[in-house]
Amino acid sequence: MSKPSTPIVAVENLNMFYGDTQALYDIELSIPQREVTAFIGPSGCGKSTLLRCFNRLNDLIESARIEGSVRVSGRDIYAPDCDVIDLRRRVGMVFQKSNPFPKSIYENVAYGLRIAGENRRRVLDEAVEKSLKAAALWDEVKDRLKDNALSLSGGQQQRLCIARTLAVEPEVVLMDEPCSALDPIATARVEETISELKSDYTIIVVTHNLQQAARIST
Amino acid sequence: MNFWRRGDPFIWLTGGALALCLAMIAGLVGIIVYYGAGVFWPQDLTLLRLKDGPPVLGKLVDRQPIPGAADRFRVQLKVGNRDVYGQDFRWVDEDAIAARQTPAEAVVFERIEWGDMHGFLAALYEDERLLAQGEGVWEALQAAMEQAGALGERIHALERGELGELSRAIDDLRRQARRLQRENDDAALAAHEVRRQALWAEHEALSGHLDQLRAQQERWAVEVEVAGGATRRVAVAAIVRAYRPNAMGLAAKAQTYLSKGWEFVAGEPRESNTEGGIFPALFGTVMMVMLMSLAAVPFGILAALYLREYARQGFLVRLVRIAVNNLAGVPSIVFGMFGLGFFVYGIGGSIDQLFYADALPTPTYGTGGILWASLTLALLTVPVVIVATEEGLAAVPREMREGALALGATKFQMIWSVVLPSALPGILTGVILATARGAGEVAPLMITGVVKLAPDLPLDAFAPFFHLERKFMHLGFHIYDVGFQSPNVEAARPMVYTTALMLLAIVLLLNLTAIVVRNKLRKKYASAAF
Repeated sequence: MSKPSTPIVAVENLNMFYGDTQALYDIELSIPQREVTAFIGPSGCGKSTLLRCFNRLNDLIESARIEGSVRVSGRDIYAPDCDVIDLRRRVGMVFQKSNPFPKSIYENVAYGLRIAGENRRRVLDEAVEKSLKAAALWDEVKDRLKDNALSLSGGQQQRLCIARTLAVEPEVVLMDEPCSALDPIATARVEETISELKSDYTIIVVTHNLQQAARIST
Repeated sequence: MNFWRRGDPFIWLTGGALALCLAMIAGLVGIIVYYGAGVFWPQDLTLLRLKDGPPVLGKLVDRQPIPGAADRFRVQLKVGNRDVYGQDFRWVDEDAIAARQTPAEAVVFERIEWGDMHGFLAALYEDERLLAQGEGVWEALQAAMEQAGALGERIHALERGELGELSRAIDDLRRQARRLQRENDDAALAAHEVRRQALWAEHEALSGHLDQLRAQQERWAVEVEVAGGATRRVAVAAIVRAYRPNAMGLAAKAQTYLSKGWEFVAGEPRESNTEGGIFPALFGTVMMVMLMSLAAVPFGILAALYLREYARQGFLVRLVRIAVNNLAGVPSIVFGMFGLGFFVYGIGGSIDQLFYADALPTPTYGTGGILWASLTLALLTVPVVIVATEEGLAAVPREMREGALALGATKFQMIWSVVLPSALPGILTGVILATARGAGEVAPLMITGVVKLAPDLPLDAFAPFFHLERKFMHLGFHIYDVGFQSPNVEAARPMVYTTALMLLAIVLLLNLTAIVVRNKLRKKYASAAF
């Protein structure tokens, strides 16, 4: 994208603590829409922690505390009236270790829609097909959607997790070292997928591989 | 040196420990199967002709050296005929034996009372009239037994069905009458009395009919010549089964074996439980275990869910967890005392006061029953379920939970659709352990509802079908009762082993079912956790 767009994620004065230890110091950041942004840095520098601030997944850790503001699409997500469930639907996440649910491939992709109350078969079918195609997995699994997701290979599982995230049509997709557990060929497939997604989604990737960052971000 | 460093002795030690465990378990099962499985096999009758004194007829059961005399042995025979000899067993010195024979005509009569009778069939009488003697008497006995058996079945059906219903109706009326008396409703009381008398007359008529049938059944009698020359009359109706083991081939013996085995599994106990079947105990055990699981499993799982997923993991939760773990180690008799005090006297007594006041002072729920026994055992097993469920929940990987939450699931949705299915195999393992523990427990049952002989099953064809206030029989208690409390412990010993075998089989069967279910689920939710 040539034209600089308004930032979709804006971070101001963000300080983050785990109990008494401070993990993030004064982060100022704005992330443009429909582009791939990569966070690079050594292990333990707080990349993942920052990423998890964007969908409030740090809320699960009891000792975590946050100062400053994070805005997604202009709304402060740490404001008291923010609906966390809705936020997480708008900001999807792909994890370092692929984590498909112990359900069928179809149900994995449809999960986000189902928990949002969508039960119409036609809508689900369409969303599953569209998401799997977007994640470049459709051709490999279209004949065995009823199979258990855990029967897929590691790279396929990770692309399934991407498809699962895309199915709810988020505004932002967070990816926390999505290729770190994969072999080079599977990594190449996933990177390819990410590159193709950037025209439709805002993607924030954590990686500690400079080449990878260069390959997928612009 | 290398030998020690490589850890060879340690490997031997671990392997040895495992082998010892396996040997102990195999020995336990082996002994029970060895003693228990052969009980129903029709053993040959041996006739010992003695050098001095009358001959002895019986089954050889043991052979031992005579204490204090080298190279001399004595044999033990089960001679039966308790009513004739006064004892079931007899020792005979081998030196005193002149000859051993296995006469083909020797008969074993299994009787409703007095145990087995061993002897020779002399004659068959019908109404004091000689029906058959010598040749053909055996065939005549078969026919007579068939007729008497058919009559017996009719009597049994009438007793269980119509007579039982009448007694119940009269009982209900009496209870209503007592209430009317308290309310001083004389008109209704008089109407009641008329109905009661009508029912009572019906009851009397049916009793008379039954007496007639019984008299008919008593028409046939056999004359049995026991070893030693005496003869005895035995009513055919009192004979459960008669067979000539020495004349039987392998197939006939196998048939008798199966028929006796079936009687054991499906029949009612006789002779203070030392003969006949164990069906009521079998039924009571299975039903008790099911009621217990029904109570313990949902509660345990829900409690564990709160403890692990919702409660703030702090000091209080740690305290609760320690308490639950310790509860699993409390001696079961303590739970029994609690069950008696809380369920039976507390809750049961209150229920009686509120709903069954008409029947007081006869307690309905205020006495031991299958419901209270099951709830007591549920209390005993709930800690096992909680601990196992907690472990199962803890083993669900964090990534899986975060994956669900990151898609916008609420905590409830995450638990219900992702965490619980993944943890289910682990939870079921706990349920299996809990069930197995509950099925084998006896001590707390003895004070909360198990009895030596229960007249009725806790589940039958009469409304309201489930009679949860009834006392019941249990295999574990049955073993204790038959083995140590019966009047004739030595004769009852085989029954103890067969009953133990049955209890083992039941526990195995219950566990096997649960394991099959778990493996099905595990395949469905194949996750790395288990």
